[in-house]
Amino acid sequence: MQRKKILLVDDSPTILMMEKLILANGPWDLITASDGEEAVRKASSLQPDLILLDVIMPKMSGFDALRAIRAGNSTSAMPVIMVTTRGEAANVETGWANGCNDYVMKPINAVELLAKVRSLLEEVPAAAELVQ
Amino acid sequence: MTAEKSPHAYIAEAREELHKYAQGLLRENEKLRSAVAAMQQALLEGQRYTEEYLRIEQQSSNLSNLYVASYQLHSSVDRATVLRTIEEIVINLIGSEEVAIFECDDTGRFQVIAAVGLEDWSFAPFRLGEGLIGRHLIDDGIFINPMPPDGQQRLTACVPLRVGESIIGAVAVFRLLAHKTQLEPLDHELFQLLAVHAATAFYCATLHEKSQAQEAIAS
Repeated sequence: MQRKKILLVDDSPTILMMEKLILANGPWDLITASDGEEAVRKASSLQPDLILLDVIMPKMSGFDALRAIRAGNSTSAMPVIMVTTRGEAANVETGWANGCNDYVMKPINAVELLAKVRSLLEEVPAAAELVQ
Repeated sequence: MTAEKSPHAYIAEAREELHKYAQGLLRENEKLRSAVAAMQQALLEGQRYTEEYLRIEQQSSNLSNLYVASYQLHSSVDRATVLRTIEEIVINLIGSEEVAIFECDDTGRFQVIAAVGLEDWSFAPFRLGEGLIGRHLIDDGIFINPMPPDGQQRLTACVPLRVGESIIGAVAVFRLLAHKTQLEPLDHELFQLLAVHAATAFYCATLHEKSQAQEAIAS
């Protein structure tokens, strides 16, 4: 069975390394991007099964990248978890309004992130199989 | 012709039947009780395993935080990169978007060399023992405000950057992120790590920059 791919997007090497360490033991291949434009490009070309998307990034913000991903034919249904620094309601609301599937706040809690990733990558297909 | 049973005999027989039935029910009840007790035991065991798993997962995450922080601090000898890494550790791993980094110059004055989220602030140079941060630096350790921040821009923590006996700089952390209500034990460990590793990383980067400048002049 093909391993699922997760695209980690953040301009901070510290956060990218942290996310890689948290997710390293899971049955997933990890790909990284360091700005919104690269994220949109890699989402289209590499077709990840899940995207972890930072909000504040150079070149293209996480919200703009999310809008571009949702507008793309081959990327519109990809699950996206927004990674936000500010947990204010407005920021989270913007994420939901643009079609994110979930969000986590920095500093990242490993247990919470793993639960959300597993939920989006593993439980959703399992439920779909049950319906079939 | 058989003799008819007396009412007493019927009653005795029925009583005997009932007794056997009741005994059976009691045995069944005992079995069910044992099964329930075993299930409860298994449930408790499961809860214990879950708690243990979460504890280990958290511990592993904490170690990852410390590893990432120290790895990133020592991954470059470029001053600007080291300063950016210190800011990133405070923003992304501790959870504050208000941080200022001070450097002690040759005359013993501390000057701000990098700041995030404090654009409206102006930090006057200070010496050890002077001002809020200078006073905390002579206390010979990391200052951590025991009171949770109240929304004002107030000092949450002050970390001296120490190399040997000298304090070469300081990291001042102000208001925490809105969703972070208090510092966790991991944050204290990250402050300890910054005090040692950020100091040596910054010191090495500064020396490297000076030697590069001297090489440039010499050539």
